[in-house]
Amino acid sequence: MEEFTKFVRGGILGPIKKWGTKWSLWPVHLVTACCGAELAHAFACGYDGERIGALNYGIARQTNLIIVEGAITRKMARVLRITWEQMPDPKFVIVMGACGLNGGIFWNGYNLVKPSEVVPVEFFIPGCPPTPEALLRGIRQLQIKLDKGVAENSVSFSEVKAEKGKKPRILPRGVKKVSLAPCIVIAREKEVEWELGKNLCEKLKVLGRAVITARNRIALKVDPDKLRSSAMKLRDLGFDHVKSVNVVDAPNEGKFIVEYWISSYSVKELMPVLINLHSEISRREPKISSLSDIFPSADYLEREMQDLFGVEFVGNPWKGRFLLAPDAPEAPLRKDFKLQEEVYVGD
Amino acid sequence: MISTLFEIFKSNMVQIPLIQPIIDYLMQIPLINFIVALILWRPFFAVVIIPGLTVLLLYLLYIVWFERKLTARVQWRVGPLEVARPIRGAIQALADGLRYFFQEAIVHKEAHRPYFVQLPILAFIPILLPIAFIPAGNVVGIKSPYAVQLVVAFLALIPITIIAIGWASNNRFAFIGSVREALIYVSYEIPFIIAVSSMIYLYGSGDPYVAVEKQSIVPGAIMNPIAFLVFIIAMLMATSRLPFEIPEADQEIAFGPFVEYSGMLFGLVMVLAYEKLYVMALLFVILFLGGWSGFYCELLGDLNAPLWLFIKTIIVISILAIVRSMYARYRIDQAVRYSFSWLIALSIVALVIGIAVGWIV
Amino acid sequence: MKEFHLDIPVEPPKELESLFLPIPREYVEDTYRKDEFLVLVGPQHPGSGHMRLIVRVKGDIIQEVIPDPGYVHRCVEKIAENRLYIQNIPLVERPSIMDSANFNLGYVRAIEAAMDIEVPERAKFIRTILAELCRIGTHLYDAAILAVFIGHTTGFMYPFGIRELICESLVRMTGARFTSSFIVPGGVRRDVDEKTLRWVYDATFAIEKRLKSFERIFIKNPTVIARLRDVGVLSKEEAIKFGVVGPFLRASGVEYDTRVVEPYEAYEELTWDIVTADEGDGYARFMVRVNEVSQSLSIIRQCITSMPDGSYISEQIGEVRGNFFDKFADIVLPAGEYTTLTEAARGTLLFTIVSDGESNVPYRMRIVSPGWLYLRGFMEALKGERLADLQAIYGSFGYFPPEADR
Repeated sequence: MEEFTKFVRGGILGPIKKWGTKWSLWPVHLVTACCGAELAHAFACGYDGERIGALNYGIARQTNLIIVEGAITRKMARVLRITWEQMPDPKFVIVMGACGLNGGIFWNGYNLVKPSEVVPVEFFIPGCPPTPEALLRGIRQLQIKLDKGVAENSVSFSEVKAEKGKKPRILPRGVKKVSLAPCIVIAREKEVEWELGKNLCEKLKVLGRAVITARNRIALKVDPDKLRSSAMKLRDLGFDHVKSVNVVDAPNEGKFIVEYWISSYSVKELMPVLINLHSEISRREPKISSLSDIFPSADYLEREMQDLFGVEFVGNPWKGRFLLAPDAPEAPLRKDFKLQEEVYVGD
Repeated sequence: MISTLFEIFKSNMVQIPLIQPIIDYLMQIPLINFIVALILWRPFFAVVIIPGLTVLLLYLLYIVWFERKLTARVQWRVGPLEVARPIRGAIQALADGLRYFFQEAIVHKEAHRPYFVQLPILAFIPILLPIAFIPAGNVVGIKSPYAVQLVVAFLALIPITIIAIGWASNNRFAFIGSVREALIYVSYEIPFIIAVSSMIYLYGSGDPYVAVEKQSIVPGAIMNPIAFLVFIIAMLMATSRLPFEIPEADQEIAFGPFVEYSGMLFGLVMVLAYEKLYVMALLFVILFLGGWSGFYCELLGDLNAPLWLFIKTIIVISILAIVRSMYARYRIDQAVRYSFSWLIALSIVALVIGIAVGWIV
Repeated sequence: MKEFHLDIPVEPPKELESLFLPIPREYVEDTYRKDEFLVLVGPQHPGSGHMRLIVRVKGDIIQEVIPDPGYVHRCVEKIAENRLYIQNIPLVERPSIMDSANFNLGYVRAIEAAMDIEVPERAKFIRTILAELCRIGTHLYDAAILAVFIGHTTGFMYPFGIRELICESLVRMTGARFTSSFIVPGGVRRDVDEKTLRWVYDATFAIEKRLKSFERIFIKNPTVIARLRDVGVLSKEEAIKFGVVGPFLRASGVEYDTRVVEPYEAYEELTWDIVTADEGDGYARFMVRVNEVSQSLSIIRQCITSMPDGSYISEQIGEVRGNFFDKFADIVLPAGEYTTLTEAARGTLLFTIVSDGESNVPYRMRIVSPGWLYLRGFMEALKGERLADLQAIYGSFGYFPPEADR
């Protein structure tokens, strides 16, 4: 913010304040996204940010610089603001990464916030992720700004005229083809040579429709009310954990397909087998019984699906939101929640 | 009145042959001569110049830089550099200090306001008082035959202020930090006191002059190596240095008692441990490394003893600085268990050795 | 010791209301009534990543930990439904930035499984090298974080110094330090020449040499061992029950490695061992990863010495240089559901792609990252330990929230 720069430079003691602040920009330990890996590199022995007096330090009260490392989600935006307000004046903010600038690769995500809307930003460092050199250059630029009072561009490029006659850049043609009435097939049978799978299929036939979809993959479709008993039967067979819980939304068929990917660690020959236990529930009343007491490993995965699809898992003790921020949209992964689309500008 | 004071000062001045002509010249100017006499008055000189406040500040600048630089060297890095390239960034701590000084000092809403502000300043009293009792040759603040005991007693007051700081901060991490500080306090204080008393038995007195005199042939570290070891470990625990940096563990409880401090107040509390380390190292040098005895330079006169004391202290602290890059942090229960099992056992062995050697000598 | 129940009115601290806790108010009050304490660790905390842990402690002992993830939930699954198959390659790499090649590989293999693309041998070997380089890089990163969490700053710096060599290898092979997007359906983007491979081969020895000094100062340090031994123990039964994955599962004595169970790329043709341990404590989890680093180094060396000649991309795709979008923009997968398992550095990575057979965007993409899978086991390992152990266990799991939250 300009007033902090002015404060640091102003007054009779200006030169001392300026000098002290310039050589002692301590970034607070606030890791916000994956650019943190490059930040760690910048302060580790390869690049050593301590050379220029920047010491990555513990908590907000004792530091004067925030380096926002990439994407800021709705949950993190709050934390960023709290941290910024906890810091004593004068304080500065540098944003690294394309996500922090304008969303970057996640620009149309439902959970993203631009840091510049949360806190006043001094410098942006573009890149995905920016290299440690770029980050240290950003800190140097802030030092120069404190020194001279004005921000400057750190690099300037010589102008190159576009040549004609070059091969035109090929943009994705036709862009997206999105089927209007998609037909979702979860269990498409495939012929594979797999003795164990065929045996397993025979055993599982009593529970529902069991087909081999690929090598080591079995899809087992059961009714929603038989889900728990099927899961118990699978547990008795030696399957002991859930690798994934997935929901597929099929709006034009009016249903959700809830899948549990179940596998085994304790039985050696079942280790490669992945059983897709799925059942279909109505889209209007999305309720299904939870398997979290049979397979504790499904607990957090169910909570996540509860957040993302609004499917209620009856029996899971967690109520409310788990992964999403309280102000994030309801059930964002349903097909009727649309994201902003990109537009290609051709020549 | 003033002339009486002047006479008192003048009768007890530090003799430094090197700058004697300048002093002689200054003493002829009225008013200036009073100030010069005050500065060179032995008690004042000991407390304010060396080994007191002035060199304490210099030492703080040095040790923060040296520790960062040494750690950086061990870690394949450079450390602070660009702030002053020709002197390898030696004034980095000054820049940090100035920045803290001009930063906002936040007193948050839920803190116990008066204590929160006063305690960092109050904590200086138990740190500065022992310096008055630590002699350096014939430069001494308060001469006492019980100086060693007094210093130990004052040192024991410092953790109380830190615990109070944690309480005044009214923050959950500060509470946890205070409790850890209290636990660590009981666990280092007992072996520390026993180790010191073993040396008092060895020398037969708590008088630093006696201690230094008895070490004229063999230093105390060789006479009682166990006490030497216990003292070093207790020193590490008392000044929360790794591997016993438990009350301030920043990755666990975010600087514990100091979590809410900012600006100048944080600058004050941050140097507490370093100052405590300085006082303990002074005591350590007197008890184990022959105090101020060393090669005598005619030109420096009375300044010889304080300089030797200071140099030895700095060397001890610089050697101790390496532990920061060598060890991880112990858990509080582990530290307390070690201290109450083998550290106390060692200190009792040291006590036996101290009594035995003292009886022979 | 006998405990007495005091029925005194309690008032939880006001700050708990302003901090956006996902837990009900009754839980907070109940905690304070029982003379327990809620400690909020993170997200702005020197010893925490991008998540909050709500720790309920009694004295110094952790009673329960409730995670509050989602601080880095960047909606990868939703965005993937809006992009072309080929545009999703950079997207899926971002969640786990150090482990980009493994995430890339998992996604690309799902596409290849759907389209029945046969990958040439040379491409398989290059992919294996990339995956193993990323694995070493991730393990070193986690070791560094573990070190700084237990207060050992030198243990933080050394792995990052070694990581520079990994980054340099990746730069020379692919052009990017972290997210290279080098693996494409059918093979890799470019061929890697002999000189670069030679450099990577030499770099493995340099890494090994530097790991020795890391071992001296950190791995065998008595304080480190004291902090990690018998801390956060997960028995074999517990690890299976809570669905822990990867090195953390192997540290509890389960011999499960996707590279062996369901071999992909070149792993079948190379000789290496599954590293396991029986203790299931923090030190075992750390040591399994340390030993995996040396296995990975040996895999890279084997790959480079036995690198086959041939094309770097499948004939079904053809030359991609210069006409990248021509080749890949209009990929349409046949209708169905395709799931691949990949052994990412931190454990099993599951990619599910559901295609409707007409769109050139995925109908549904499900990523279950290892971090998300072992979060439950991580929370269970914390119970009954001391508060100071929270960071040690956190570090021993190498929990990386961007990867878990996606």
